[in-house]
Amino acid sequence: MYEYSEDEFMAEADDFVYSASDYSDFDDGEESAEETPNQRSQPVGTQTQNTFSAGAGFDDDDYYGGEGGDFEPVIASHSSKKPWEVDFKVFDPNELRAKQEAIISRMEPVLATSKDATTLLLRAYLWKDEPLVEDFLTDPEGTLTKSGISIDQTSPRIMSGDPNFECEICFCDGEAEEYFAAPCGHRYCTTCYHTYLVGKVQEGASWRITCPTHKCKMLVGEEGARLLLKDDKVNLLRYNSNLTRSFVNDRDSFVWCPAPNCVYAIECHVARSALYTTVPSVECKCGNRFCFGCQIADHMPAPCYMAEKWLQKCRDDSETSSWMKVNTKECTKCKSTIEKNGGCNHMTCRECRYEFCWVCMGSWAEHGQHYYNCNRFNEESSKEARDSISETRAQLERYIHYFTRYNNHEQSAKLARKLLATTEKNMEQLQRELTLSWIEVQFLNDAVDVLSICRSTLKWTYVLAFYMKADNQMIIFENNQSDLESATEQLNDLVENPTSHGAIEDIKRKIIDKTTYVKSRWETLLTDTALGLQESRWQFTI
Amino acid sequence: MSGISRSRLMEERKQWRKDHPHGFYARPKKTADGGLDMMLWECCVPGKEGTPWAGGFYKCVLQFSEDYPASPPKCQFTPPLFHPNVFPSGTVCLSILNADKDWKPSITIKQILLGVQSLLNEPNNSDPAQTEAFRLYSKDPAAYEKKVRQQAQQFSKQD
Repeated sequence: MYEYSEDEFMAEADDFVYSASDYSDFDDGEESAEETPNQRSQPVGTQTQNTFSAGAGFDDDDYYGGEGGDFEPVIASHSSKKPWEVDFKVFDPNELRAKQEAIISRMEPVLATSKDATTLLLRAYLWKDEPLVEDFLTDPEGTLTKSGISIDQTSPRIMSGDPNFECEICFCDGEAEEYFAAPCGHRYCTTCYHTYLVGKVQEGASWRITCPTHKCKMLVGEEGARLLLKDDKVNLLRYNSNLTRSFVNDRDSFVWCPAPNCVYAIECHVARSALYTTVPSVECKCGNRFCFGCQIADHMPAPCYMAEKWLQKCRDDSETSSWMKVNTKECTKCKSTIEKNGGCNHMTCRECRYEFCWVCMGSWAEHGQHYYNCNRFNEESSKEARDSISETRAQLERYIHYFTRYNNHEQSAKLARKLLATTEKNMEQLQRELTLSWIEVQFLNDAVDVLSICRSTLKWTYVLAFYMKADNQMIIFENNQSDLESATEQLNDLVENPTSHGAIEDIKRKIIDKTTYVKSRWETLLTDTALGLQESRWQFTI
Repeated sequence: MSGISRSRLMEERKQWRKDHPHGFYARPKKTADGGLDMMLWECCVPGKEGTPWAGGFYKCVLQFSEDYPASPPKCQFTPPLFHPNVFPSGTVCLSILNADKDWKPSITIKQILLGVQSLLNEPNNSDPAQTEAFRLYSKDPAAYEKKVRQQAQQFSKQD
């Protein structure tokens, strides 16, 4: 898998001055992950934008044949964004803090308030600067009050020396007591304030912490909180990380990478409404690929709503439906599902009171006295009854058809991960036996990367197909699907048993060729589905 | 705020004895050996005049935890009350009694009981806690009010 290095993030300017000569030819196998920082980074405004692309060496083709010089590569770089890709940027915690700081310093002169107030206003407006500026410029006082921020900005201080002071939490009093008050002026002793703050911080709260007074909505503020926590490093750290957390959680264009223990957040601008036609797959710096829209594992090409529906269906149906298939039949009249748990073959449906024979499913009226022995299997009426059942069963069969294939790819994807381990061994072996350099055996790694991404995509094509209405457009889709599927299986076979296919040079060429081919089939399929979804080419019954 | 629960409750008691709203009472429960259980208070909330709740004296207990006042006490009507925001167990569902909602460590027992009193005639429809009262309240307000008046009658004796 391709990894972005820090340097590439900094050096976005470099990205569009690459020329074809920077890249070695794909076929000579020297293409390594490190050498293809291709053009996913496009400078837009002042931010580095990345687009998702799968595996190493995936979108080179567009890159060659540039005229060189001029702005040709820039254009090439732009057009290298594939129809299924979305722009996104990965942030580490430091970058997130820097981003917040940048927004705050940009807004401070606009609002012309203190830094603390600007920060709190931005947080209270969930970083939506346009409504904030509009509200604030029309009614600064109202905007501040509504958000729980004081109009007069004095730096928070810890005070003491008031003989009339009494803390309403612990009822300590006297001039020796140190106390603190949020801008609302409600005073509490520093011990109680600190304990209150720590309790809130440990619950995950940060800027939303208000004064401890009943019904008081005044925010304690970041400066105040930091002042009270200054000798409590653990909770201060936690407070700061809660702030960063809320920065990401409060914004629609940011999500945390859902991988366990991952510290990165992803920024991506995809409208909720666009999720019906685009699948915003992103890749975190930790290597986790997931959907920005719903944060489950990458489900290209199926859109979020479909993926969600499908997973729900799988949870509900798979176990149950196979059990039902084996153990139940449906009433031929009202289609209620019936389990026979004893008794004779004379069935009476509990729902519609229809009486029928469990063996032939025909009406009981025609059975006479043959209670325990149905010999009417081929009679016309029984046949009709069975046909009507088979229709509902057919729907189940259809689901199972798609589910089996979906599941197969999921299982194979898991095996692909194991394959990666064997591949690494194979690569070492090749290096040793044939005195090949490290870079010369990377083709195996690339092949496995391509395999696993194709498996994931193939898996979800079956979900798309399950909900798709059968028409000519679907046939085209299924052709693409089957092309990719057979190519993927062939590549899988080559990678799994590299040594059984002849001389090493031969296999290497075969694998590289096949990888390129599979990759191009993958791109074709994703281009087709991405455009198809945008053009509403298919009809879905969902 | 652990460790200050008892001293805070002592202070609450002092404040209450100095001044408390009319018709209310609140006192720590007597233990079997004649002492006081500061963590369990027996209280009484009168129905507000001019509402169907008037005339009733509704008894409840406030159960404080060691964590108090960082976390709120539990308020439970004994016996359970017919009210949309009172659980069948008698526990009151009120935002100021919820640590994740509006509880603040400076809220006093007086404020809690006054809050409970206003809740009586101003149920919160978005947090139903029992089916019976909630259904009647939303479907048949007249029958609901009748039932409330009956209940006030039933609890009219103050001991």
